[in-house]
Amino acid sequence: MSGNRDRTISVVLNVHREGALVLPSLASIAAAVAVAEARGFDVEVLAVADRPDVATRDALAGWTGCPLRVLEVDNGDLGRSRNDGVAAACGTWIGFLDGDDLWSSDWLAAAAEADLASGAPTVWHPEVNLYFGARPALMRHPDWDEPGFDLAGLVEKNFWTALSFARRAVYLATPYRANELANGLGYEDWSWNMATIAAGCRHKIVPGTSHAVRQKANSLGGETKRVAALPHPSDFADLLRAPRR
Amino acid sequence: MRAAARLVSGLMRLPGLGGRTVARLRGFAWRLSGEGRTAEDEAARKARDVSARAAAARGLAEFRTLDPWFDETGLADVSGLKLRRSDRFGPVSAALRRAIADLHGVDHLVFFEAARLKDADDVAAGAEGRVALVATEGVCVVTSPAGPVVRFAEVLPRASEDEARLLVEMLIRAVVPRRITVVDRIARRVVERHASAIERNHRVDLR
Repeated sequence: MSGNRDRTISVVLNVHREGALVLPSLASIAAAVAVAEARGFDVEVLAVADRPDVATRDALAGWTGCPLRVLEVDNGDLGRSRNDGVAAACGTWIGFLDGDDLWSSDWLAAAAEADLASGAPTVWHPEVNLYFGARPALMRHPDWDEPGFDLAGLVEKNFWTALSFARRAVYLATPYRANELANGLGYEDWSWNMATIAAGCRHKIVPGTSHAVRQKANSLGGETKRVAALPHPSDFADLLRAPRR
Repeated sequence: MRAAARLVSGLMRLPGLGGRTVARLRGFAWRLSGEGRTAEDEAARKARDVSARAAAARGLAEFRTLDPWFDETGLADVSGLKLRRSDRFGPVSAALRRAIADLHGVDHLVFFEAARLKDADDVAAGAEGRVALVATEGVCVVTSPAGPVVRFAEVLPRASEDEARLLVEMLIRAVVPRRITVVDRIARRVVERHASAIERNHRVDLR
């Protein structure tokens, strides 16, 4: 890093027990870093390892594809670990990646350029997600400004995945809530999406970009569904009392 | 298309249909009706679908080179994959928006099933502040006695149990009443399932 803070992107890779599957994610980060640096951005890469197993720790230790800082934490919770990544990051922006998922190589640069051109607090998402593994599918993210978009649907279904990109200030102002599955509260990403909107952020897509999300048999999402958890209560519902936007 | 939507809506009212069938028919009728979207919305949606598919195809080519195990998934191209949208605004969302508007400022929500209307009325008669009665059984009807006036608004005709449960969950969250009284099996299930979360924010009375 050259220390150009205004154009620095912090990558936060959240890992747990992915083992060697961390390596394709790191390769994806390295490809995105190369594109971002070619377009004038500085990038730092931080892995937040929450109670990692030996295989995951070894995979991180053996990585040489790009400079990597590893922060080991003992949270047992993805929401808290994301907050730890935000606290440890140095950049103007943060981009999250989960330990076995992939970005398209233009993701970091295109998201940062979109944010520089935007005049309002915005959380950025890829245009499309490619789910691979057990049940392959494509899922298109909605854009805040697209015709027919209606926020009311967000109480029924989460619109955007957790692999977001925004200014660090956005993540500091609206930290993630811990999952409390035993209390029927989960979906740290869905809760966060609603909370950021309540705080005045828009959620938009970066055209042309994509993420690949690995489908796993035993995922946090699956467990959250199994216990029929709800997102955390937030002020988001207040917005629905206003006329349809 | 609107005539077709009316026909499907008519089918939905046939006796003996299960909740899931009714929900599917309602969604189908909603899409046919075009409610909540314009022709411009539809044209924009199709253009965005094309754009998303192209982005996915470009992404796939990269992902196959980044992940040595990717090809083991058998995913060689995206042309055969169904493209879903992650957002949803359908009849349930629309019903919820109407209900939230109807119930703005309510202090006390009473969820009841049709057979226990008298019990719900008794609760409402003794309640403080603004109280609303919400029936969830089969037909989801909101009764909003704002002061002495009782107003019925049909929110979601023949709601399935899943839909009714969702509406109960979301109304609790959106209206944020100080008190909740439950004389209804669907609402009871919701409140019991999320007891710790709900009881943290509301005073709850199960009857």
